Amino acid sequence: MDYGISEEFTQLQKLTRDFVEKELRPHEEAVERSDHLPAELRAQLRKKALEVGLYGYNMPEEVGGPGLTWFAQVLIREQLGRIAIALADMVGRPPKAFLSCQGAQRERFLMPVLRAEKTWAFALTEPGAGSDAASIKTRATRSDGGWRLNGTKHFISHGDFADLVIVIAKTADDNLPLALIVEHDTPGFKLGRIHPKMGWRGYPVAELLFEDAFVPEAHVLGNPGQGLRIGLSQIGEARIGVAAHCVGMAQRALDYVLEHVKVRRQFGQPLGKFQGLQWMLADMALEIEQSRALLYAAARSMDSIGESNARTVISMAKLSASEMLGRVADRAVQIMGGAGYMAESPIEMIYRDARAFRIGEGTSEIQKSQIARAILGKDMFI
Amino acid sequence: MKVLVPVKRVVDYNVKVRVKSDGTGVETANVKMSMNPFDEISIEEAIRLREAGIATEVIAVSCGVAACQETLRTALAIGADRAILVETDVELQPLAVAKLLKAVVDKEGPKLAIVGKQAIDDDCNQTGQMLAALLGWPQGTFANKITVEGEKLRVAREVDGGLETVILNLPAVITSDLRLNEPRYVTLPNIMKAKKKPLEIIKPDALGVDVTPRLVTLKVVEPPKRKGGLKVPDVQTLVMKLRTEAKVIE
Repeated sequence: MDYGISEEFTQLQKLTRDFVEKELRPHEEAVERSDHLPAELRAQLRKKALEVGLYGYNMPEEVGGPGLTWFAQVLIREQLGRIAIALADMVGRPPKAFLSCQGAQRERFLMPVLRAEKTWAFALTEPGAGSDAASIKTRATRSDGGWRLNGTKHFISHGDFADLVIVIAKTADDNLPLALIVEHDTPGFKLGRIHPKMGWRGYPVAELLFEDAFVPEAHVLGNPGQGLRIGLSQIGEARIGVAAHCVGMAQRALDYVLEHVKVRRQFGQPLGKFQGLQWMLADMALEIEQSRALLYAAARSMDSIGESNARTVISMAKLSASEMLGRVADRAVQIMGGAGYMAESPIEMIYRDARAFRIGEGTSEIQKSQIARAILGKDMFI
Repeated sequence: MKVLVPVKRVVDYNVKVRVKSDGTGVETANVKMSMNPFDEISIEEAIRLREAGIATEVIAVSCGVAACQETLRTALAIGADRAILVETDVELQPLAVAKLLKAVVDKEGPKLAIVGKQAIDDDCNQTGQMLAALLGWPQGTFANKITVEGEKLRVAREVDGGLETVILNLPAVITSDLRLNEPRYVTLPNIMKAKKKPLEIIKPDALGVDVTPRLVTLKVVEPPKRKGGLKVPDVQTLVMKLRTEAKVIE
């Protein structure tokens, strides 16, 4: 398929692919087996990603990032989909919320994040606020020179070790959404439990507890009332990122299975000679290409009409790719048979890890609502 | 000193090469093309020399069709300072390339040319040697390690029996072997910077070189399909068969 990818972007793909294979692949099995990515290794891999310029590849030029087009970012993320999520995550993509840092906040928070010196977490989701993000209950009460935070966040990626946590809360007096940066060692900020989960091994997801945690005024991003806008400023990026990741992951599954069916013999011939499996493989290839075509079209739309105007096609790409990955991963297990169920091939991991993508960054149903709203017009939703 | 590094656009090493149905060559339409891997090693070596303060400028040069600009952009992304394309649609054979390179050397005045030992498409392994002969420069082929020592160049060469070290007077031609170095990642910022670096396009006529092919390709054919092997029960049978059937031992 010719997507008209320039030589320059082909090099970005190659760089990412090489980085995945040379630097990340050697650790994948150990991370999967132990469900743990040691802190020293994390630091080492982040440093390597920084050296090749991939770390913070989503950042604009004005803060020293490469200022890549959305299409280029999607091509990079697609390649990152070919490795376990915990490792792909070492090629850091700081939340765009950090770009709201003003004045002294830039040196204190943004720059150390871009230099891979400080890690982050982004805490919006709560036990009572998932898809309905606006219903968060974490309260920020004005206190001398700052705010006191009370509440619980959960399902927070890297919440256990992040140096900086961007917390979205609501002001106690006038119920306005507020974004604050909370440092790891803030008194009253405690780590709750690490959620046990189906897949995404070595990628801890934590519960965060705030009990009268004092956050100075200097840690507030923007003004009260802008918290959700700041918090959701990366929603388009997050969704297109999931779509790209899913396409890369599905392609990896297909590539793996294609090798398997050429080598594995049953009833006197390679599996690839059985028409029943050939048709499954053809379906997988077709569905991956459909999702990829939509993904690239969405990314190019973001480049031409702007991210916020492309939300509907972004939702379509996310919905298409995450659902497609589920089907592709399921067929991959089926073609592999017993070997696909064993944790000795990446197919078993992909099957587990894939499931989260139909939920995270807006469930499939939320994406459908977004699409329906766009095609029906707002009148039907009053 | 300036270092000149020729780079060739070839069918990517991952591509399974197919012969054209009319037997005139191999299929290159809609086939992924890349820089010849030995040329990547050459560029890397040149950049290391620049980083060591020995080379002052690394010039990448490619001879061939307009699409070779992509290969040159890759060379610039790896770290070459500027690039020259000698553009022609004529099928270029090693002697023609060597003559073009000699003309570029005469124009640019490098003290060292680092040439890939061969290109992975035709595997000729001739251009570097021909270039040295045309220039009247010493050559260090199949380089495994090079060290610049003042006006001399120490080259460890890969030969059948191991390594052979020669000392050459500069200027010289080196051809790089696989183990000369391991090319670095082309980093993201360098990929983005490459498009801003200068790329000059010249024609063979301007260099006064006649690139008309001198060799005629009669026919390109696939290698014969490998015949199925045979399992033997023991060493005695193996030796017997090698002697009587394969006739490879007495």
